[in-house]
Amino acid sequence: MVQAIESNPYSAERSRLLSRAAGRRAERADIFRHPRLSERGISMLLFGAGILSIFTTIFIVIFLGTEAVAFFQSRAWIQAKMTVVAADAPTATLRAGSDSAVTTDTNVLLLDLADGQRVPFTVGSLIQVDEEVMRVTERRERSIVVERGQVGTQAQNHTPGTAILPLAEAPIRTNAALPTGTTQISLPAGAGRNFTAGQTIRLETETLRVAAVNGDTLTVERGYEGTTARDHAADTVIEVERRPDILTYFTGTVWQPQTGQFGVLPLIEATLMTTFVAILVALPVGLAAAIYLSEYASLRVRNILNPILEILVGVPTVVYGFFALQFVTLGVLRPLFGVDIYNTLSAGIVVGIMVIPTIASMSVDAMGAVPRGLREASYGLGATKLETITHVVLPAALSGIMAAVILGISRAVGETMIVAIAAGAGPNWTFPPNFAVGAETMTGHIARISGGDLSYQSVDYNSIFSIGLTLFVITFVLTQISTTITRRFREMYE
Amino acid sequence: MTQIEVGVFRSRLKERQQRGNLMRRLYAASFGVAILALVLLGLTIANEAFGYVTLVYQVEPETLSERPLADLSAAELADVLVQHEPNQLPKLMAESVAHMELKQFARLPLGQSLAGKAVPEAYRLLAPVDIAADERPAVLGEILAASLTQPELLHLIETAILQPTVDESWPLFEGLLNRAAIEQRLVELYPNEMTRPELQFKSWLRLEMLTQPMDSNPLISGVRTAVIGTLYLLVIVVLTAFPVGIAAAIYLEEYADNRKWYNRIIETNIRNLAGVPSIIYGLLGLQLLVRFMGDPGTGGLGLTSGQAFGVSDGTGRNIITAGLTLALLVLPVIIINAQEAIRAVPMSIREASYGLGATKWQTIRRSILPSALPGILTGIILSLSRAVGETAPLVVVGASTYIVQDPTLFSRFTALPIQIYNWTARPQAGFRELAAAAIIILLVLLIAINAVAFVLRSQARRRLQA
Repeated sequence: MVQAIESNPYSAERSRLLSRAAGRRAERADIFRHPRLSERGISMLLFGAGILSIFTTIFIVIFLGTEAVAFFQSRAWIQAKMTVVAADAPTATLRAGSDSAVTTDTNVLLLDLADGQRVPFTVGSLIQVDEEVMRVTERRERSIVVERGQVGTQAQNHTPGTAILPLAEAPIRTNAALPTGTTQISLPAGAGRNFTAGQTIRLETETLRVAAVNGDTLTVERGYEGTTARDHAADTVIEVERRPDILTYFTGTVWQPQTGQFGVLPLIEATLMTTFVAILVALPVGLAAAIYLSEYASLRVRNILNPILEILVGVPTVVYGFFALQFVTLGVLRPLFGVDIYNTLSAGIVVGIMVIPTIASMSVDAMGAVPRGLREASYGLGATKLETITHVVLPAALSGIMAAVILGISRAVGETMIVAIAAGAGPNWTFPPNFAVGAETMTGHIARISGGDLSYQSVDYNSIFSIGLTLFVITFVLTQISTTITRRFREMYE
Repeated sequence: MTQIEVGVFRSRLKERQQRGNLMRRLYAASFGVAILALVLLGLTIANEAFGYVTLVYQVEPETLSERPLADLSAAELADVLVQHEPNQLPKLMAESVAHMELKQFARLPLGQSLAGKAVPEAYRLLAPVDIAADERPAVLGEILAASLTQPELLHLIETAILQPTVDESWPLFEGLLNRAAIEQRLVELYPNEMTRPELQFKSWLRLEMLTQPMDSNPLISGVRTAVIGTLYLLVIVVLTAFPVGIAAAIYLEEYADNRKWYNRIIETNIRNLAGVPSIIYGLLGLQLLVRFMGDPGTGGLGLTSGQAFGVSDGTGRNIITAGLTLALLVLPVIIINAQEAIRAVPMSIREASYGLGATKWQTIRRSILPSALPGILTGIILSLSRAVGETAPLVVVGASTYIVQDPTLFSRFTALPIQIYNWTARPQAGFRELAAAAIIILLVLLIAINAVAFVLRSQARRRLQA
């Protein structure tokens, strides 16, 4: 017996291990220490990899934020314009008669026109009556609607029979040479009202600050903002600065940073238009596909249909863009409805096709999470399958489906290549929205402006980051809402 | 229930069931829409990538040789070049054989500028300018025949002598269905039969595209530089995003204590990042990688533009910054998929490993990762496919659209999707067709990636089962 144990090779090994474990403490500590050290190192390394994603978000926020701030501090220099009476344009007079007297609160001017003569002013143009400048906002048959007191003038009373003069815009030039020491700029007659005290202006490379406006003479501080005062010849063009501010950014309808027009609305409108069309396409199709997959299809059919959705996801968006332009626009919409080559309708339809799988797969998850018991209760009450789906499953899964739609909207808002190729290459504000013409979305604009070497100091460079920040906030909020809904929904049935 | 109520129920039941069947068909029809979209997409691409064209040549191919050019040997083709473009030969050789400027090529000894090529011993020490003018074309032609392959020479003849341009092009289906009308139109346009261009079938997709450089003529333009750019980008994504992504997934699943606030933030953050539009990543790449880490000339660190590594003319708008941008973009996708794969590994596998005395890392490396591998690979395919087709971030980071020289890590670059975008937007005849051909190449590349990943995945699964 004893011999048998001793001849067993395992017992020898065991006794060796025992003596080692009981014996040298240093070696024992070794077993515990060394693996622990590398384990700690590895866990730190993995933690670092996890942290990296936080930095991605932080960097996105910081960079988009700082450049957007830079955008709101940037400025565009545009030529100062004054209005002058257009020399050879047709004029008109206020109609004679007591009913056409103009007081300070009238905004319809009755015109004295010959029979068949049309109103000679266009909408948006400026006119001058006595000393007052007005802007034409509407043309009627024999009258015009105006905004009173434009370009720094005050609304006045006018008597019937006064001439209405059309105005044109001309750049303001200095009247006389401006040597280094002088602080008085003399302007052409009537140009002074285009300036205000405290305004920053530029003559060639020198920046000046207007200290006071005295009729048609400006008192200025020379060499403002670190520029050096220098001599300027007569007839130098005066430039004024245009700065974007939050209000004009979100309410302006013209986006042209180069000329000081910073209204982001046309870009947002185009984004909303393509997104609207996309959801109009993707919601019914995606939801129907989800209902079929989740409620009707057998496992075998599901295994055939799922790959179709996967292929739709896998097609690169630039290929979808090609499809939108070549087939949807040139092949279908243009021959049938005569739309422009670039239009938001075609881009929206194809973005919708791209979004179908997103909505479908998330809705399948939502409907799959509806407990069996609910369905069985419905069948027990004698409902058909369709009635069960529409009256029980869909309402129960509604929040999950909403989450799917919101995520779909977020995808559609952020989609770039389809709209860059098919939606058009120029901001275009249309009201009411016109889906048949081209309009540039936020993403499309970023893609077009950043293609090519953009100087880091330009207004354009800063502007794409401010648009990017707007886009980031929109999609981030949408994604956040979607995940919150999904989480709530999951808790509801757990 | 009264008799009448039963009757009403019966008749209503039939109606209800009919409505149910109708809606069922409608729901199924939604897949019809999806399939239709895919089929139309495929047909549109095929319709553009193949078609009919009339070509106009600078020099008619028939005047060059009695036999079709494609049948000529390399020596005969070189001869054609010598006879028709004797004065252009040095320039052609500088560009296509020596890959240098003409000025430089003309003054360097042939043995040096064409090192490794078949240069006759007698001319090794002579530069092209040293060779007598009447002798030069023959010598260069001989070298040309020996150093270029027959297809390369054919391409050279096309670009240098024939210079074909598209006169008019018709998509495939129009050409097939409306052939008579097109022929009629040609007869009206060119009453003289001698000068009338021939209507010929043209496959814009050519296998040679993969090896030919880009050209401003869509007929002979290749996509070599774009394919190389795309492959480089893939390598960078694989090398950076995969290790980091899998590491982050392991941390979140195996180490992170979900009750800790920072772990919850990491988790939520990754999910949010997956929903950020790709163009935002482009802006991040532009500012962080191109501007701050890029060209010192504009205040950058010179890391990504290569100045820190001795490359002098980098701008930061290169493959490295684009690749890293794509890596950041696909990172959340990789992490989320790898997390799911790791979560699916049964607890018993971990417990068995711990029971054998393995440490945590040993358990992860030897037990968890191998069993999660098929799932992780699936996520990797998804993210690679996304990286290959992604265009917007590359546009923002500053990809070029016309690259003739093979890109290096720090040079300007282009990629397949960029070319598709650029060519689709061009109005000139031939470029949309070229874009369609490039789309087919891109889709083939995508299918290849998916196939490789599929094989890898099934192998990993088999190994697990064995």
